Amino acid sequence: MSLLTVRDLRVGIRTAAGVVQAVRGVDFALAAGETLALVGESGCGKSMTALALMGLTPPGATVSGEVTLEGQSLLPLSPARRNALRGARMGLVFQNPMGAFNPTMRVGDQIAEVLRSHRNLSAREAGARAVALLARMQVTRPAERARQYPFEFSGGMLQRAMVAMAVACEPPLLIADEPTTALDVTVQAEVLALLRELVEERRIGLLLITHDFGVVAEIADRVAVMYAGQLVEQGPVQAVFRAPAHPYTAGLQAALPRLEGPRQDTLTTIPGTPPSLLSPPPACGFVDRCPRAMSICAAQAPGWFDAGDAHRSRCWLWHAECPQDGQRGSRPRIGPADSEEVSGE
Amino acid sequence: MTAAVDFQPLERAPRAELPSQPAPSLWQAAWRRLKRNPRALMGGWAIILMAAFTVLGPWVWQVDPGAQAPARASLGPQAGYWAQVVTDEAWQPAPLQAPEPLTLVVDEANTARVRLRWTALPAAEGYRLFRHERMPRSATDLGLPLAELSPAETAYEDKLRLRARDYVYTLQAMLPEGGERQVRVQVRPGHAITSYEAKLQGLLAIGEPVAVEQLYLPAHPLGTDHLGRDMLARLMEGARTSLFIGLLAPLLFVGLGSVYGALAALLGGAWDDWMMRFADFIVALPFLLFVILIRIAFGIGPGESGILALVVAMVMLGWPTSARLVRAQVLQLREQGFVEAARLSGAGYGYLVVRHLLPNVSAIILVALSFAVPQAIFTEAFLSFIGMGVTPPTASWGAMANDGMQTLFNHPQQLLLPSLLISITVLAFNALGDALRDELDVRAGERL
Amino acid sequence: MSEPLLRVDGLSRHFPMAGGAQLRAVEQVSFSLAAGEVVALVGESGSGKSTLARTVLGLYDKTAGRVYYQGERLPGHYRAADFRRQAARMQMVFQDPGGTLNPRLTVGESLAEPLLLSGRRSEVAARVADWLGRVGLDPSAAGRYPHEFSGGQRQRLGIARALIAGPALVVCDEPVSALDVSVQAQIVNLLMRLRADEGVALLLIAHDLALVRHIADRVLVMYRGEIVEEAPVARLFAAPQHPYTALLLASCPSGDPARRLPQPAPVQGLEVGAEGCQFAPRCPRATARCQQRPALSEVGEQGRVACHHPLGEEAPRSAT
Repeated sequence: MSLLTVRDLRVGIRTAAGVVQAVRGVDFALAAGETLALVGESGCGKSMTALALMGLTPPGATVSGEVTLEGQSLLPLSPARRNALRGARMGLVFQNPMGAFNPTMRVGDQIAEVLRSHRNLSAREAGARAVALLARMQVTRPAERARQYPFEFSGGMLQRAMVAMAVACEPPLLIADEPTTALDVTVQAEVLALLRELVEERRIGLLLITHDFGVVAEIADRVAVMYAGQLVEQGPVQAVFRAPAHPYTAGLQAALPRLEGPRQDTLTTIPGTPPSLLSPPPACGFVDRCPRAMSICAAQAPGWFDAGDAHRSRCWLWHAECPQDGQRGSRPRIGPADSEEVSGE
Repeated sequence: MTAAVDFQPLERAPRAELPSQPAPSLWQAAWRRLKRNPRALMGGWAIILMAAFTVLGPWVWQVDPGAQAPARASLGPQAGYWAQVVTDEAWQPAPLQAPEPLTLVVDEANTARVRLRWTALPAAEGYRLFRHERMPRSATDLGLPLAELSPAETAYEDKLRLRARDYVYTLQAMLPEGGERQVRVQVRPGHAITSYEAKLQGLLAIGEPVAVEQLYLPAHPLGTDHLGRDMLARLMEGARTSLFIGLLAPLLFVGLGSVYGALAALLGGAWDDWMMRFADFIVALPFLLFVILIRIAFGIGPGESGILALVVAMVMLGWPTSARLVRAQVLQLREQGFVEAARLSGAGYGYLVVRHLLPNVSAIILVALSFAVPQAIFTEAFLSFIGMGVTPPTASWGAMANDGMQTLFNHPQQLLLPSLLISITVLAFNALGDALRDELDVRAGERL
Repeated sequence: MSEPLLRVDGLSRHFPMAGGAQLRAVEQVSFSLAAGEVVALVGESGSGKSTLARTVLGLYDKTAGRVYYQGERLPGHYRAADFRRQAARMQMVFQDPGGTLNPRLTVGESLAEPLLLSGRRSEVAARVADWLGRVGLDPSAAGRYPHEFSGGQRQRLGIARALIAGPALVVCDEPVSALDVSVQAQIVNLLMRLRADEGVALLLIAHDLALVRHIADRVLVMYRGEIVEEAPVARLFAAPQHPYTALLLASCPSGDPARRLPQPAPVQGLEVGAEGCQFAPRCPRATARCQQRPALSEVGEQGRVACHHPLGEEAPRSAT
């Protein structure tokens, strides 16, 4: 059974201009010990999805759908119950650790407080656990660090402390929203390695929200690509990177400069901008920017199509009747792995 | 529809890269949003009405706000009316001749006086006279006891707060051994004004014989105050004072603060440090004490009016708030790419301020101003109320509220009316400021 | 050898801090840049790369050192007139697309500013229209306001403003790091094309090494205000000499889930005083010699490294 299942999650946010349909029917499942990366560009709804799961949507937001954590349905719960779940059953890691800590409390005390409120530990036990947690997060001189205030920590150190706080009560689920975006690349590598270890060691389910495909490749088991409030592709990380099954994913990967291989003359770009979510398009949201757009794409929204083993794409190119280079039913050529063959023709 | 057609590549015209619709400038966009914002509408219209009340009001309602009429003090709303002029000679009533004893007659009935005479009852040991505002319902329900008279007196002149309405006078003749007899008369006094009173109000020339029999007495739509001055005219006069101080002082101190803050941010470094420490020092000064000091320095004694001193005190102590606000904004702007780009192209200080900084802090200054105005109006009202600001005879809402305190229990409208205007104005400016803050947001154009 | 376009010699920039201490944001930096060359300045946040670029341009006063433009020494403290003279030589592209254009001015007014301020008042409108076209926007965009444009479009407008006065050098401060991936590629392609068409030299401040590899000819690696390594881009990526450069490269995700980064090994660094190598506390190769600050010295052709124990040819990236 899955640790976390999300079905038809929808989030609408009331604004002066109307209701922004930030999340438009997102489905996914996450198993214990698995890392799922929810990846997409700014405004695609990935952070709003995370906030909806955490129960921290802004005022004026309406959330519908079904979110089940360990068999318990979350959305009908009262704010107080959801509050109790945070920390105990789901740990949260945010992009900006400075904003997550109380600047006037010692870091060790803040971690201990989480333990005491959820675990009924004595102050002494909780303090000792906090130091042990910091040590586990490879914070040097943990006992000394625990007595320091957040401003005395570097960004990377504070992010480790935040991970320590998030996993203090050993929650089965960890939601990390852009956990390494504010960090330098050397520190990012260390924090990613730490998260990877925690997932393996404690069989935590990790939901990672990021815009960075490099981070996804480093840590994810499965990838869900989000565009204009919907998932457009889901699959195992290897499959998504080797053979992206949606033109959007393929376009993003082609747009990234590479660290290896020959230098490209020009990078592939995706023309245009994402559609406004105030009045989302009724058909495929990517049709205006898609190099492979067909007339059906502008007329009808695609459903999920199988694109391989546990690999699915929301793209008409995978429809059985869609002709592939004159042949019906063969695999469409979308990603960079295929494009070399295409250019060879 | 058939699948074969549907899977044809989509024909698309190449698109020019341009926002589809020309969007309005930030000011235009903000204006459009303001026009749709209920708080802005409410506040804006209330302010426009208040301005019309203040500026146009005295043209329409040409009544001297300083004219006193002691006889007409603390009236409720009144329409205008004609009044008979009565002279003030003493009344020498002749004994009434009538066949029936204890006949009660009304010689004269107007709001200046009601003159009553009756025939003596030989057996009477004395008389009691009562006045009621309606017909008595029982023998003991006689109303206000006016007088207890000796058997020799057979006339009475009632001058006690008469109004133009029905009265029932009851004359009780007290007989030996506790007996009594009553007679009753109902009268409705006509409007009247004594010639003395009329001369006092300037309705008649002093020292000349009274030539007219009737005078028109003005209407008071909102009644009069405790000195008989017209409330409406005084509220308009008070609005001038209150709004003058409430607009002038904020204009001066927000202007001063903006220049000061922008200068501190632009000069930077040690200048910035010292200038802002000085601003902190100003904030630490106790306002009330400072108002008293300035009044003393201006030679204004207790109970005297000091509009200038009030404005000076507000300006001297009010500027740091806007200075801090503008400084923070300019510091932020200084780091923006467009300011650095302009410097790189050779922009001087003046150019930077006029072209890049001012247009981008003007919204914040406007918001600061719209919040400073109600604060200043309130401060003026408060200081006048405690007698440290504007004092009578100059009208201001605060001073009027102070006056109204004296008659609070009998005539609460004298306190409530100026207080209501203070509240409406303060609320209107706050609502407008609130709306401005929301809608003038520099990045508002990026909002969804 | 002829005089390079830009030569920076021993440039320092210190900021006073509370308590009278000095923050040495840039310390004794020397490098040069040839006409048409793309030099990248890389390092982590706080390494001083942005301060260095702004000091070179004159936006910050120089604490020490000299900067030469085509052999002409530039002032240590700039007045408006100095900037006006420099407007047609050096310009800058900024990181934040939201702040790069004045929201109260039309796009045309913003683009015309460098021309008008530097006194070239002829054919301003035609040049603005021309440059709008060159960055892929419709000329009628001149009448529009910045908030009507997306982040990527604004960044293109910022590039047009930087280039409109015809500078020989443009400093790009993290020009794409605030943009989405799909938009980044447009900006990178535009910069590359302009470099080819206009022959403009770029000083690119970036933390994204893949981007640097894609654009730059030469790379300067900064650590705590100092240049620790300088090398042609191919050499730097193939065989980094400074342990810090090696660490940076080793920390970059490969973008391939099949080849994930190894667990970073815990490093037993060396505590050094203010006179020592700044990287020693994090350096796996630190020895007692590192108590003395290493000088930036030549390695191979066109390369320089400030390290007592450079890696030599032993650790190409593919081995990690």
